[in-house]
Amino acid sequence: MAGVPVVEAKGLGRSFGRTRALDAIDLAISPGEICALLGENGAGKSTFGRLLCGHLAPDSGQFMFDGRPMRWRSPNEARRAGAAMVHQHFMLVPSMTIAENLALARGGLGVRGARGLAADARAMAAEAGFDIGDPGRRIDAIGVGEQQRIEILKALVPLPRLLVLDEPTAALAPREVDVLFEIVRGLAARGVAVILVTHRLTEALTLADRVVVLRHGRVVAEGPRATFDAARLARDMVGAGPAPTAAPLRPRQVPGGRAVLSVRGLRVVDERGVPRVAGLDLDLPAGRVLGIAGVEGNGQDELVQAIAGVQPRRRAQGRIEIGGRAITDPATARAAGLGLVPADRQRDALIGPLSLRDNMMLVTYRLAEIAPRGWIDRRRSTQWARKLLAGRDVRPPEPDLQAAALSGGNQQRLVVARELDHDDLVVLLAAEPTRGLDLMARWQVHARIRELAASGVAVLLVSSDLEEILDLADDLAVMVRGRLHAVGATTDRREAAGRLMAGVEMEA
Amino acid sequence: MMVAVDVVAQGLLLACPVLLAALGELLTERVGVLNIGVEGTMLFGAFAAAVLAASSGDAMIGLVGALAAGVACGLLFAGLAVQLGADQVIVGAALNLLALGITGALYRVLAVGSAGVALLPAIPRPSPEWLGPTVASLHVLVWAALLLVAVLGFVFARTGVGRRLRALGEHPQAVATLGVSVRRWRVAAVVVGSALGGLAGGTLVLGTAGSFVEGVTAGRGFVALAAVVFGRWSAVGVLAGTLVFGLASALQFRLQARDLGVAWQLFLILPYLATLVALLAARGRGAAPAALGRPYRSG
Repeated sequence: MAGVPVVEAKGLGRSFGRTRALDAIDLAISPGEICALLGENGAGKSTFGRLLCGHLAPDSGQFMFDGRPMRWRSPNEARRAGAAMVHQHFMLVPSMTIAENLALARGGLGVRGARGLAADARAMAAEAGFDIGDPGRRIDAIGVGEQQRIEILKALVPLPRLLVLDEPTAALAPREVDVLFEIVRGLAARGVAVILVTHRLTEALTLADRVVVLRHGRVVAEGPRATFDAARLARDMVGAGPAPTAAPLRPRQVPGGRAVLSVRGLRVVDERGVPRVAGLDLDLPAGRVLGIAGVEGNGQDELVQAIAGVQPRRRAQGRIEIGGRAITDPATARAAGLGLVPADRQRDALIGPLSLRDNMMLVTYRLAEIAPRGWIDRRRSTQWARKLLAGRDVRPPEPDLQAAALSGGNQQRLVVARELDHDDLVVLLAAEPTRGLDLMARWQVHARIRELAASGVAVLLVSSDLEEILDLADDLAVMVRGRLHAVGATTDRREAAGRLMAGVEMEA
Repeated sequence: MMVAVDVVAQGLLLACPVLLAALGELLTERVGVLNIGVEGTMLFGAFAAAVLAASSGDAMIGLVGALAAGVACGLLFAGLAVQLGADQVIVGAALNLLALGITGALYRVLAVGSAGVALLPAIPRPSPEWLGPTVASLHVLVWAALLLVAVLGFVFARTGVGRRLRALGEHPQAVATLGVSVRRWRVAAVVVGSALGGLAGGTLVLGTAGSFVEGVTAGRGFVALAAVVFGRWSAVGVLAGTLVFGLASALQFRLQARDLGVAWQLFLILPYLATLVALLAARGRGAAPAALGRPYRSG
């Protein structure tokens, strides 16, 4: 693998607004090398791929392509020079056939009938060594694995020098992943440099020649695959820091009474029909904190949404009860005393264009306080909102301000104030409750969660931050591919959780 | 038999402006842009055609004016709704109101239309004798519109341009990742579509009405919008949808002439009622472009 690297980044960086998504990356990839780019969501790994393929322009640094400094003006130019990208979200038109999508990618604008397009598609597949079956089938009629092969095929003719695969296994079943890996190995053998962008440790360890770990836009670890093991990768990714010394398990007396939250046989499939939660049972007694760790995308979001009653019923099966009341929709969940901090606050917790006060009032259980006469009292509701906002140090605590105008951390404080700071909670569902918070605020949220638990609230804490979970949880489980794996109290919990997160102890 | 042929021919003649406008809207919606300003675009086209045809005495110059008015409307709409990403429904509604106001005011100032304008010429006898005089008297644009149905159908189904246009309405991001400018292509499609809308207005004045009055389009732009939905976003379907309107119009003229002892105004409702019923019968958005009405923002 000697010779000129296909691509060599020097101090490559890119910001979005005030966020430094990628900060001075140096990285070289040789022909035929498979390089895994590993990191959590928001670590900057996709940004790096998009820079190399002309979908974004860097705002600092540069890169060499085949030994020459390059600056793409468009993805087209990058593609012609040999840098191709396979996107995480398929760029296929669902209502068109395979042949039409391939023709679209080739870019011809002339007259060509269905038979001609099919012939073109077969020729393209043959050149890449793919089997695509009948190219006259519509994209929305074929499975995800097949869709992805079409997506990859788009990037392979003509054969690129560099192929960036962005989270290619996100939607795939295990068997389809194997097929994909075979394809990738074949490409590398033909001299294509491959960058595999992923947050799955096992993939990096199975497929890559070299592993690069990104965190907050910087390279935090790099080396040949052999120098990594799953536990180390997990630590590097989430930034767990030094070995555990402080904050051991709190020897707290926890009531082990009847479950206030009970989940039976929960199955959730996503919009493509891929199972995300695969038959899950759960019992959570009052006053107990169950921490669910796991690499993002293993079904945690779907689990939280199902318990909150947000999952459409046609996609979720199973029985969920809070305090003995069946949860069928968000209203029953709230009525049963659920507090919810969703992982994606922008999407699921806030309405950006509305004021802070209106956002605080979205959850209606405090109507007596703000609408004593049956309609919302503006003065009272403003006072009430200001008090709560100030209590969580939301800056600025101005009830009339638009929620979208707050910084991310302050938005999270608002959500915490709304969901945690009142007394009628029965179950708290907290997903990434301290994401974006500074140390002080984080400590305060943790203190509040402990306080709630001590007062008898059952807490389900979902976090990709292992440290947070070890700190707060009475019981620990790891979610892997839609299943919960309990971590016993006797073992070294950090070690065991790390291995589980990496999928090491999973039976195939 | 002869009566049936006459009714169909008359239906075609009355449907022609709606068909042209609907084909323009079909092109626009296929790339993912919903332009409900068709009515306004037609109105501007009708006005421009009336003014230019009356002052020059040449119907063809009137048509060119209608086309230009359509292009101007298209540029205005595309600039706001595609380039700046403004809400398409609001921009379209604004265009309709603007057209009503401006053409209404100028109509009074310039006092156009009171004098008749030169009508479009019929194609010199392309049709066989036995089809009768009504068919033979159909003007050029009726045949042009029918040809356009075939052309658009072919372009969408069998050419790379059509494929790209459809993809723009279904999955603009996919087109963008191929290095194609979504906005530039959408602007182009909107302008061509609006040009057809302007032409439709011109056809109305020069082909059938013979003069301009305030609000001469009488909701035909909205009928065109309905025809696109009825036709499930296909060119042939759009033809069928506009024919419902055209045939009902032709029929109501005959019913009025029959003197059935019913208030004649009631018959004027018939074409619109027929369109509404047809639309309800064919309801469902199954075939609508997936990205219809959603502004594209890159990044």
